[in-house]
Amino acid sequence: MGAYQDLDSEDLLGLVVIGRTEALEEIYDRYSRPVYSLVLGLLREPAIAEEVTQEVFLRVWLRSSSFKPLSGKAKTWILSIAHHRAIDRLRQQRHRQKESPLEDFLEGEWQMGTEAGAVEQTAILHEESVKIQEAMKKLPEEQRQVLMLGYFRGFTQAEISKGLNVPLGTVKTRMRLGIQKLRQSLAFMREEADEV
Amino acid sequence: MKCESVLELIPSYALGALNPRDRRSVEQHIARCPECAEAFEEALQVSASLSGAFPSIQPAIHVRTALMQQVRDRAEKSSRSWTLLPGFRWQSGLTAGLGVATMALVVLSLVQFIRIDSMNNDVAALQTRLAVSDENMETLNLAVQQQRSLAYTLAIPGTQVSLGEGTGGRGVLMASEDGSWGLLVSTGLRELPPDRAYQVWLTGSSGRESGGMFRVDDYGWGQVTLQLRRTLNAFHSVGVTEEPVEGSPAPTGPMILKAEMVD
Repeated sequence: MGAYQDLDSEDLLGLVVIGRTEALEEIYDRYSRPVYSLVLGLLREPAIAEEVTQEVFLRVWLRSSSFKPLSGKAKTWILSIAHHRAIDRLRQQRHRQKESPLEDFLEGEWQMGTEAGAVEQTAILHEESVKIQEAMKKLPEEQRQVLMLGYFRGFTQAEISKGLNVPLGTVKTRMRLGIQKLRQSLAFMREEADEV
Repeated sequence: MKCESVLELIPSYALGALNPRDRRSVEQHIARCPECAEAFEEALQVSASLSGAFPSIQPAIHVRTALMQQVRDRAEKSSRSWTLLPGFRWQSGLTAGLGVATMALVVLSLVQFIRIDSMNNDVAALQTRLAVSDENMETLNLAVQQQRSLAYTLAIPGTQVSLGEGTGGRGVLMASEDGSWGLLVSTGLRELPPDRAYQVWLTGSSGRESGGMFRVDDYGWGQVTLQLRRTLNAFHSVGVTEEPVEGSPAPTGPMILKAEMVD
C-alpha cells in the first residue's frame, strides 16, 4: 500500500480507471471522512448516510474515467458526487413522505445554525465549519437564503423560485452572486490564516 | 446547450439546485468545453467548501469493507464478461448483409471508434501524468484492444433487430448470420441504482433463456455480448427487464424493451 499512499489523488483516480482496487481503497481512506460528514449532515440518519457513502465511492469506481485531471481536483469531484447523491436521496425522502413544500418549510427555521445543529449534538464543530458559517453570514440575506435552500436542503432552483415567489432568473442571479461572494470571503480568510 | 446558458446554470449545479435533466446537460457540455469547465471547477470548489460546515465524522469500518467487497465482485464480473470476445470465431462464407443493417452497423462502429479515440486520449494523458508501471499500461492497452476488436466485429455485415416498448429506451440486437453470436446495444434507458441491472431474455419454442446482464452509463448507453447456450436462430423473441444486479432465473418485471425476431 505504501506506493499508493505516495501518489496524489488525481493520479490515484487514473489508476482506478484501469481497475486498481488498491487505488480506490486509498481514495476511500483519504475522503471517506469528508464525504460521510457531508452526507450525514444533509441526511441526518447514520444508516442512510453509510449507504449513500458506499454509493458515492462505488460511483467513483465506475465513473473515474469521466474525471478530468487537468481541469479539476479529485476532492472537489468526489464531494460533488457525494452532494448530488445526498440531495437526490433527500428529494426522494421528501417525495415519499409527502413532505410539505418549500413554502411551508420557509415558515419554520432554516438558518444554517439549525441545519448544522442537528448533528452538532454528536460532534463539536471544527474550525473549518466556523469559517464557513462566518463567510455565509457575510452574504446578503437573499443570497444566503438561496444558497441554504439549494445546498443544504436540496431544493431545486425552480422550487425556490416558486417558494419565494420570485422569478427563476432572480434565483439564478442570487445563486451566482452568492457563489462569487462566498469564494471571495473564503479566499480572504485563507489569506488571513496564511499570514498568521 | 450554448455556453451562455451553461454558464448561467453552473452556480445552480454547484449548489445541487438543478433537476437531473439540467444537471446532465451541464455535465455533457462541460465534458467538451474547456472554457466552461474552468468556471465549473471554480464554482464546484466553493460548494465543496460548504461541505466543511458540518462536523467531521469518520464512517464505521463496515462501510469500507462492504464497499470493497462490492467493488471486487464487480471487477471480477466485468473481467468475465470480456472473455467472450477473444474466444469468438466467425463462421466462413458470410454473405453480404442487408443494406440498412450495414449502414446502422457502420454508424455504431463509428460510435465505437470515437470511444476508442477517447480511450487513446486517456492513455496519452495517463502516460504523461502518471509514472505508471509497464504492467498498468498493458492492462490499459488491453482494454483499448478489446474496444477495437468490438468495433471491427460491428463493421461485419449481419442481421439486426430493433427493440422498443414506448419507455423512451431503444435497443438494437445485432447477430451474426449463423446466429452464433449477438450483441445488444441500448440507448435512452435510465441509469439504475447499484443493486439493479438490465437482463436480456431470449424466448424460443423450447423455453426462455437469459442472454446476460448489462448496465447503462449516465448517457443511457449500454451494451452486452449475449451469452447463450444455443444459437440465436433458436429464439423467436428478445426482451429486456430490470432485475437485481446478480440476475434472476426468470423475468420479475415488465419487458422494458422487446422485439420479435423473424427470419
